[in-house]
Amino acid sequence: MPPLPSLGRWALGRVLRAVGLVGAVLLVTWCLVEALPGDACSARLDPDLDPKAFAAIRAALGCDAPALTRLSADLARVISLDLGVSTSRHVPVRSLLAQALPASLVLGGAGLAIGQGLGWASALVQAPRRGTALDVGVGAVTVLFASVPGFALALALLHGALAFDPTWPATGTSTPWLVPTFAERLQAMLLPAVALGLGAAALDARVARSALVGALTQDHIRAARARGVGESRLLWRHAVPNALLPAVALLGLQLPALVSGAVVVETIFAWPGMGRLLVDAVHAADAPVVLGVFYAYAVVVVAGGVFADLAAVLLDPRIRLAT
Amino acid sequence: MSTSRKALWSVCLSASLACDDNPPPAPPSVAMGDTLVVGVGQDARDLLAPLAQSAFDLALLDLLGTRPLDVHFDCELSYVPGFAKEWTWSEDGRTLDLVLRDDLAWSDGTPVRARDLVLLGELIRDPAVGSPRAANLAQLTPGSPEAVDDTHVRYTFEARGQPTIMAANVGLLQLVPSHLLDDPALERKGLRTHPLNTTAPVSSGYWQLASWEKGKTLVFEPNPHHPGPAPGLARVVFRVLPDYDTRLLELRSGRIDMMEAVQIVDADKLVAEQPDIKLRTRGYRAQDYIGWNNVDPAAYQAAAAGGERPDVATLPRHPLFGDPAVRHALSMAIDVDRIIADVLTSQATGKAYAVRAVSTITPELCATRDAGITPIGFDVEAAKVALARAGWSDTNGDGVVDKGGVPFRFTMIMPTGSARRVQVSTIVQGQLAAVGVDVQIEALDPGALFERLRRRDFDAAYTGWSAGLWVEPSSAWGKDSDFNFTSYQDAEVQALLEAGSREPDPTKAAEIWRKFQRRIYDDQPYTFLYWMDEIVAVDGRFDNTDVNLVSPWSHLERWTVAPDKVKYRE
Repeated sequence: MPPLPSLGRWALGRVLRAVGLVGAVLLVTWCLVEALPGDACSARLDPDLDPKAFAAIRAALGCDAPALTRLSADLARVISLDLGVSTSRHVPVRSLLAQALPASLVLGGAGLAIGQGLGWASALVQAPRRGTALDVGVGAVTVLFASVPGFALALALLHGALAFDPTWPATGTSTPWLVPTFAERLQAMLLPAVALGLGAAALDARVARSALVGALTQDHIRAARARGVGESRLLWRHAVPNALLPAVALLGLQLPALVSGAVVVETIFAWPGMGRLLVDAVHAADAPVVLGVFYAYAVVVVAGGVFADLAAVLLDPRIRLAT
Repeated sequence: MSTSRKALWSVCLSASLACDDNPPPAPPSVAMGDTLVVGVGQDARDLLAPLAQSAFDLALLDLLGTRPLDVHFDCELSYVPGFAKEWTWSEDGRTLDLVLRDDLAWSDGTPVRARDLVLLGELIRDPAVGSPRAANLAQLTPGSPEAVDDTHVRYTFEARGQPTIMAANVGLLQLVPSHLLDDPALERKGLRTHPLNTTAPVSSGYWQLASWEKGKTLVFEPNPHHPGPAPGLARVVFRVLPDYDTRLLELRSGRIDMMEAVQIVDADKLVAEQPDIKLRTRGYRAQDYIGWNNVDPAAYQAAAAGGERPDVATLPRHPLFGDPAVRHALSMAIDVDRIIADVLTSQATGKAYAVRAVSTITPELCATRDAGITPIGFDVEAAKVALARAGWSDTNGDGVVDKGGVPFRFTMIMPTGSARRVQVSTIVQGQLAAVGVDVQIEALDPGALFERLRRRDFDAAYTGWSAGLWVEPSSAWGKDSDFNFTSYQDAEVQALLEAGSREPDPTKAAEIWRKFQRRIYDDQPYTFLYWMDEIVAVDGRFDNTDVNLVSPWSHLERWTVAPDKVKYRE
């Protein structure tokens, strides 16, 4: 058996692979943007535009440069963390990301917390009562929420909330010229976070329930029960820690959703996050912003994977670093 | 004195006047009224006059700026004073002199001067800027416009044309703040990233931009340096809500006061359930049509592969739509009146929000529209006969007419994102099937659709135009225009197009444009469908609202709210 690498060497290897992966994602994204019909300049073409003016716009926005020149310039900007200037909003992509990323992180974080909270709560209700009507009923509800498309859930929540209270700030405060209070910010975030959280909760619940049921049927749990250990203690002290591993793996996969999974919800609730930024950029064929958003996505996705691996190693020493 | 030295002198003079002899007027007291919150689908992009391009950007610029000429539309475009208090044409019709007001100031207090107009012209005409407005000034002589003095600007045109259009081209542009942009060190190629364009424009109009949170809100407040009467509203807020359903919900819950492009079914519900929301219509500026590609797409693309624009007269005709008789038959098979009744008419009130289209010139232009054109009537049997005469009949009994073994089958492209177009395309598909024509529908993202149209890579396209307020049909029908998507060419049409554009007499020009429309209608390069009357919803507490063909929020400075109805108090 070959010797296991140290944690430092393992981490270095993962980081190097991560950098390569991010580079590959950027290259593929650039090629996809290039393959899209039109470009940032043709998105500006309209019937009132004189052909000479259009040619001048192409030159001013750099659309007429050869593809290889643009590729090398774009990649050089990414390597230097410059990311360039948006061709539709004319401000540095970094500043757009700096505004959108925190908004998405806050919303995604809240959605993730709601999802994990609801998911584990339902799993903790279901697992000890496996096969009962309650288990089946809660399971059916989770399947329902997992099946409803995000946009339908978001619109249903929006309609429901405004029918219940027309003044509810579902898409931000109604006095956007005033600095919102903390309570107003929380109110504005509640519906989109719930919309995100309900979808995630359904999956979390199924994975956590499955892991808990598996843990509760293990021999050492049965032995503990035979020794007279209470059900509550069995669940919390013995089953839950053992069920954490698959849940943490899932959490690692869900981390990218903090920034990437809210395209529809952000559009419906007018939340100025990364999803909205990406949709607007795609419509405007704004290649620097699309690249910047995917750059951020790639970093978060890869970092999420590394985080999940590291957490798994720390939670379960049986998992070998050699993986 | 060189132009640049003149400019420098002008700036120095302006600056010295501003500092010493002619201080900016004291800010008038601002009436603290209510706030208007408008829900819009997109954010602003460019707010500097030479760069603004989208309809939304241009509408916002109208809040921020003062144009030399203001417009009034009643059957035809006419002008009222704006920044220019008087204007005169020379006898040869080539020179336009503007006499400017001297009481306007930018929102930073600097007086507005003739140099602001001249620099605007310089920036628009500088290829480094890449201005979408370059065509507006393309007919000016080199060096024009020129500032005769601080309140007098002269435009000299290369040739005489229609005064209304010539004045529109130069008089409807917003000013630029020369005291902030007249800098030799300014890199004009990078003007789009200038803060005046992206974050903090200065204003010469009734309103100034108080804040701009990208993708979220634009907040306008009265410009305290504007000498006119203070606006009746304390604030105008544009909230960016990209999703139509969200905008509608926000309107119904009272969290926005105004939205454009309300769908008819939603308008019916608003009328029935929320009488406090008033509905206004803007008039006929948008039309839908089905364009039939006149030339073979494959041949066009092969000819265009070298990068040059092909001479479409030398290309083979489209195998299905190259024959005008076939296009005429297809128009007979489409029941436009039924489409209007089923899709564009209120089922609650019976009010139609569309009229039949017979050309690309809006019927709002009373003098130019041709009321004598009788729309082609819906007649399935006549359409079948016409197709048979053109050689198309169902020889194998499969329900699809064919000719030489080739079935009459094609794909109609259309843009995504419109419930109306989904409904109408399905109706058209069914109606054409009744005469043995098999239509497949392909919905494309607007960007992808435009590329297909531009490359002429389509058979038929169901799309639309937004009409200007004056007649300028060369984009849609000019033989060298990128936007003549169907590659329609006809010698008589081109001759009329050139004659109409050159004719200075409006009455004679209108007669030419009527002939022009009739000739095109005879050839049916499009099946002209309908002009739509856009519905705008406004909260009923606002008085003096002016929703019209020119703008959904014309003269916002005149909008008021009665004191007992004010919703947002400071």
